Amino acid sequence: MHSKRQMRTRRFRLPAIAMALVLLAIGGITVTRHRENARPSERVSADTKATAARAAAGTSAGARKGQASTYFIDPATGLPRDPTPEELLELQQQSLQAVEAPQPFTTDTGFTGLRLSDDQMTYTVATRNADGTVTLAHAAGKKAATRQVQQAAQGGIVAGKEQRLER
Amino acid sequence: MNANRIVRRHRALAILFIVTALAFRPAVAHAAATIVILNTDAANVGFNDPTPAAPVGGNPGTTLGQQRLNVFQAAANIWGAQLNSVPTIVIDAAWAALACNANAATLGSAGATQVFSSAIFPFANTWYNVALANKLFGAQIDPTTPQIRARFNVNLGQPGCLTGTFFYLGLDNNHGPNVDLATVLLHEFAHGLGFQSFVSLNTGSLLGPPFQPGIFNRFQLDNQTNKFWDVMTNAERLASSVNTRRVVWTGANVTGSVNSVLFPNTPRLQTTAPASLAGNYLVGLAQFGPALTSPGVSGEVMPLSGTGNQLLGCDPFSAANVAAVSGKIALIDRGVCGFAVKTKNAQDAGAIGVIMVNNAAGSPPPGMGGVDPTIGIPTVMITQADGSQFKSFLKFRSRTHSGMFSTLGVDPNIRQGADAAGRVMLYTPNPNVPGSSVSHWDQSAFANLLMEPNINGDLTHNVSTPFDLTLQFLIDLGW
Repeated sequence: MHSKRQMRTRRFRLPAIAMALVLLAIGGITVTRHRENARPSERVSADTKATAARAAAGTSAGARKGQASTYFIDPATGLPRDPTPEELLELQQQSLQAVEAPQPFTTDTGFTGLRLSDDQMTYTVATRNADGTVTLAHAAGKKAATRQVQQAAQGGIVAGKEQRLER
Repeated sequence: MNANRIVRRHRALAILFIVTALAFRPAVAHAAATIVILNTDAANVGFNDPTPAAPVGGNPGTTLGQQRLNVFQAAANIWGAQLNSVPTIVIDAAWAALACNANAATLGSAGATQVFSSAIFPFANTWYNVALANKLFGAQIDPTTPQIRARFNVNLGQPGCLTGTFFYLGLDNNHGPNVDLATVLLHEFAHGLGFQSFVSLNTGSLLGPPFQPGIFNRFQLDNQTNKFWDVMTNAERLASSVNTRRVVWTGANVTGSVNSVLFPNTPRLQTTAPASLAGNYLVGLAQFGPALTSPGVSGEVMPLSGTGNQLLGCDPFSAANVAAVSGKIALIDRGVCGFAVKTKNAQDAGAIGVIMVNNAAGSPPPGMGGVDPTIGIPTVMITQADGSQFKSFLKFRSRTHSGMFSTLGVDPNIRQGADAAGRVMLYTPNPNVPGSSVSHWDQSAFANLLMEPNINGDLTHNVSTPFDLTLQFLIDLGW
C-alpha cells in the first residue's frame, strides 16, 4: 500500500505539525516547504521539527519576541507567503487532530485497537446555583472539567435543564 | 518507575484472575453480564477508607470505603442484569482528589479504555468500545486491560469542595439535596458501555488513526441534510454538531420505545403567516404564567415601539404600545428587566401572549425565570436569529396590524425530545458544549432521561422502558 519512506514521512508529519503550531503560538517559527505542489493542508513539512527546534533555541530570527514570521509555500507560485486565515485555521485544526490522535495497535487475534486517553473520558461537573440547588453537567477530559469548575467559581457557567435566566 | 511497573503487573494479574475465575462460573440462562469493580485504591483511601459509617438507604456498609464500593457494585449490577455478555466487564475504579472549589466540583469521570474494529463485527471499519467488542467476539480481546475506567472525587462535600454537598451513598435514591452516586454511576458506566460519540468537536474528525466512524456515528442522522454522520465530511459533521435539535438517533429499539417513554405535547411557536415565516420555531419556556396547551393561544404578532425601557417592555406600556398589542401577541426583546416584569406589563396592556426575543446568540433558546402569580398569559423565548427574521418582516407593519400570525402552544403529535418522525434527538446546542454535545440526549426530552447532559434529580435507577431509553440505545449498538 505505502512505501516505507511514505510511512516514515507520514509518521513524522503529524507530530511535526503539532510542534510547529505550539511554537507558532508562543513566538513564531519558520516553516519551510517539503513537497512541490503540496495541498494547503500538507504545507508544513517534516523539516519543521528541526527548524522549530532551532527557533525554540533562539537561533532563528523568526523566534525573536514579537516577530512571528510564519512562511507558507503557495502551491500556485511556489513562493513563500503568509497563510490566509482559512489556511491557518486548517492548520490549527490539523494540529488539534494530531495532538488528540491516539496510536493504533493490532492484537494477536487480528483486531485493530486504540487506547483512549483521558481526553476521551467523560467528566461530570457539579455546580451550585444561586438558589442552592446543584446542577450536573459534563466536560470532555480532565482539563476541560477543571476549567469548567474554575469558570463556575467566577459565575461564568449557565447550565442545566431546570436552570433559567433571570433576565 | 519500578514501583509503577509492579503495580501495573499486579493489576494485570488481578484482572486475569478475575476473568479466569469468572469464566468457570455456572452458566445462567437469563440476560446477564458480570460487571466487576476492580478497586485500585491505595490503603485507607477511597474504597479502602476505614472511617466508620452508619448504614444508609439500603447500603449495609459500615465504613465509608465499603459503602462507596457497595454503590459502585450496585450500579454495575443494574447494568449487569440488563445486558448480555459472556466476557466479564471489568471497571478499573478509584477515588482521587479532582478539581473543586466551594461552589463547583468535578464529581468524577468514566469511559471506555479502548476501542476495537474488526471485519467480524456487524459493521466493518467501525470502532466498538472494548466491552461491546468483547461481547461480540465472545471473549476478552485484551485480557490484561479493564474495559472501563472510573475516577471519582474523594473530597466532595468537604470544605472547599462543593462544601456541604456530598455523594449520597444509599441505594434507595433518597438523595435529598446531595448527589445520588448510584445515578451518576449508571450514567457514567453507560458512557463506558458505548453511549459516546468519539467525533472531535474541534475538527469534526472521526476517531483514528485509522479514521473511521464509531458504532455510535452510524446511527446519527442529521434530519435537515438527511445525512448520517459516518458518511459526512469533517466540515459537515462540525456543522451538524451545532444544528440544534436536528440530529436524531435512528436505532430501531430506541425509536420503537419512544411512545412508551417520552410524553406528547412538544412546546412550540407555530407561525402561519406570512408564508415566508410559516413554520415551527424552537422555544424556551417560562417559569411563570400558564403552561402551554393545545390548541394554544393564537393571534397577530406586534412588536413594541419607542425607546429605552418602553421599547424593552420594562415600563408600563405607552398608549401607542397598548394600541399595538391589545388582543395580540407582543414581541419583546430580552434585556434590562426581568421576564415576568415584561410579561406583566404586556398583560396589563391587553396582550394575549408574549414572544421574548433572546438578545444573545445561540440555540436552543433558554428558559425564563421569574415569579408573578398574577400572570395569566403564556410567554415563550425564541432565538436571536429567529427574532431577527421576525423583526425584518415586522418593520413593514402599521400601528395596529402586522400580518404576522402565530400560535403559542404544544404539538400533541410530537413526543417531547423526539422529532416529527418519532426519532429521539441528540444534544446539539449552538455553540457546542464539549463533553455534553452529541454524546447525550437533547435536554428537551421529557420524561427526563438518564443520558441527558445534566443528570436530573427526578431520575430513578431504572434504565429501561417505560422509564428510560438507555438500555434500548445500547441494544441498538449491538448489546
